[in-house]
Amino acid sequence: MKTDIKPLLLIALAAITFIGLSFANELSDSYSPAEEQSKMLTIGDKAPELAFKDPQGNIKKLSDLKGKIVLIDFWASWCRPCRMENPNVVRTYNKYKSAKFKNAKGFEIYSVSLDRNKTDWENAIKKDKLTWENHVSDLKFWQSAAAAKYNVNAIPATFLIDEDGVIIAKSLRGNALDRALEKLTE
Amino acid sequence: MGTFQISGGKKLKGDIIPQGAKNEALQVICATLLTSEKVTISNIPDIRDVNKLIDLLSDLGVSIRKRGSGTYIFHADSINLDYFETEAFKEKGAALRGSIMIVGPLLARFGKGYIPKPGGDKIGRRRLDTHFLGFQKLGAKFRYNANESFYGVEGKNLKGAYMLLDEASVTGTANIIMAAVLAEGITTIYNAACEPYVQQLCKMLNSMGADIKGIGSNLLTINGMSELGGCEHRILPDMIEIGSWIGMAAMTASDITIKNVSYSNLGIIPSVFKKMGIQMELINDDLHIPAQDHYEIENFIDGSILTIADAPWPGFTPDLLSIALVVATQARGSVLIHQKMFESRLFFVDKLIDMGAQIILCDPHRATVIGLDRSVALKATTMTSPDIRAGISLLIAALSADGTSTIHNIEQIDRGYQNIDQRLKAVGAEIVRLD
Repeated sequence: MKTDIKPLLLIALAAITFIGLSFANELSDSYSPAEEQSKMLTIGDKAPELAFKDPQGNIKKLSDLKGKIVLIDFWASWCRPCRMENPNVVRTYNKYKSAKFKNAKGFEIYSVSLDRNKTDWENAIKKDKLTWENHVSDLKFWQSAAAAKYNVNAIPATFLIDEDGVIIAKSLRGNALDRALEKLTE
Repeated sequence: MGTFQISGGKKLKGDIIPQGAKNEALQVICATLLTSEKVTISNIPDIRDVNKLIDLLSDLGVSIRKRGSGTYIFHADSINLDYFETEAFKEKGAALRGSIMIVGPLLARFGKGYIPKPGGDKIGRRRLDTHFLGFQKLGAKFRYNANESFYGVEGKNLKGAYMLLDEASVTGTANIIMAAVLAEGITTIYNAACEPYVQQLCKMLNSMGADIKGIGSNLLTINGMSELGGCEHRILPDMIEIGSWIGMAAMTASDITIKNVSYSNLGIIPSVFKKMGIQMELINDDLHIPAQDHYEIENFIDGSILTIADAPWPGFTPDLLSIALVVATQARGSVLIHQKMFESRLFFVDKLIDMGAQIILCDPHRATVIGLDRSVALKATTMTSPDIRAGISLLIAALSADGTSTIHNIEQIDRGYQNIDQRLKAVGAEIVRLD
C-alpha cells in the first residue's frame, strides 16, 4: 500500500503547488515593489544597503563595513540636538574604534547627513571633529533617499548593526550607546 | 458662513503637493511640552485646528518661533500652569479636540494636567475614558468637575505599569505614551493604536531620548526616562489628503500626480482604490493617477459584491470611507460601504442621491452604491457641508457634476484642507470662494 500512496501524494503536492503559485502570481501583480519597502525596520532586521557620496564625491557603501559593528547616525549640521549629541558620539568612537569585540572586527560610524548645503555639512564635520571616514549625504534635506529607506522622519536617529549587518539596537543616545557597545566587547 | 461655487465637469491636470498630516501634527506639537529644550517641527499644515493648538501652547508659555513656511521651533522652558484657571483656556481648550493631548505631557513633566471637555467633529460620540484610565494606571488621580465640564489628572510620581487599552484609540495611545516616557520604570501598552502617526510620535520621542520599543505593533514597551531633550522632526504627508486626491482624479477622469506621498506609510489605502479599478503608478515617491474614462470595481474571488469597511490601522481608515463612496457612484459595478467605527457619518449620501447617484442607504452604518459608469453625470446642486470628511466628498462630487454647485459651511472643509481652493485652481478646477 505504501508504495501506492507516494505517487498520489506527489501529484497532489504538485497540484497544490501549482495552484498556490498561480495565486501568488495573481496577487503579486497588484503589489508594487514599493509595498515591500513599507516594512518597518525593527531590531533583528537586515539593515538595508546605503551607498551615497562622501564630501569628496566617493561612494561609501554600508556593506563595505561588514564584519564590524556599525553605528548608522542620521544627523544634519542644522539639527541642534544632533550637534549637542555629537561630543558623545565622538567620545564613543574614540573609546571603541580600537576595542576588541567578541565577534566583530571593530567599530565604525556611518554618518548620514540630511544637509542641503555642502559647505555647512563639511564645516560641521570639521567643527565637531567627526574624524571617521564614512560621511555621506545626497544633500536633499528631508527628501534624503537614505532617510526614506530607513523611514527616518526625526533626527537624531541611530541604528546599531552587528557584524552580519543585522539591526541590534535603535535610537541610542547618551550613555545608552556606551552601554550597548560595552556589552559587545570582550 | 463661507461658500464655494464650483463649475464641475472639467478635467484637471497637474501636480498636487499633499499637506503635512493634521493628526500627526496635533500629537507631535503636544509632545514638545515634554522637554525644556528646543524642538523643531517641519511640514506643519497651516489649518485652523493646528493653528489653534499652537496658539494654546503659546498661551501656556511655550515660546514659538516660525522658521520658514510650515516650520516652527517650540521651546517649552517656562510653562505657566496658572493658565489652566483662566476663562481663555476654558474657551480655547473646549473648541479643539486635539487639546486633550496636552494632558499626558503636562502630567508627566509637571504632575498635573487639565482640559475642558473637548469639542471637534459631530460624528457620533467619542469618549475619553481610554486616556484617563491609562493615566490612572500610571498612578495619577482623576478629577472631574461636572459643573464646569473640566477633566483633570494629578500625580507627582508616575510609575510604569502594564495596561490593556479598552479600545485602540489613537489619541488615547499617544497621550498615554507621552505620560509614560517620563514615568519611572517600564510601561507596557497592549492594544495600542499602531497607525503611522503614532509611529511618528514614537520615533520623535525616541529622537528626544525616550526608549520606546515595539513601534508599529500593538504592544509598546516604554522604558521611562528622567528627562528628554530636543530633536528635529518632519511630519508625514497627510494620507487622508492623498486618498482624497486619488478619488478626485478618478471621479473627474483627470491626470493628477500627487507629489512625495511617502508611499510606504500609506498602508492599505492604494490597494483599496485599486480594487475600485483606479490605476496608479508610483514614480519615485510620487503617485501618478492617469486620466481614466472608466474604472471597474472588482468583485470578491467568489463573485460576490465587494465590501469596503473601515477598521483601525492597518485596516482602511474611516476618514476615507466617504471618498470611496463618492468614487463608487461613477464606477462600473457595485460596492457595499460599511462604516463600522462611527455612526451618522453616512447621512450625506442624501445629497449624492439628489445629485443623481444610485445609493441605497441601508442603515446608519451601511450604504450600497450602484455605479453609474458615467452613463450620466451627477447633477449640480446646492448643499451644506455637515463635517470635514463629507465636505470633501461633496466637493469631489461637485467637481465631477454637470453645472455649477454651491457648497455652504466650507469652514468644515477648511478645518482639514489647507488652502484647498487655491490648490485645486492650480490643477485647473473652477472654484470660487464667496464670503
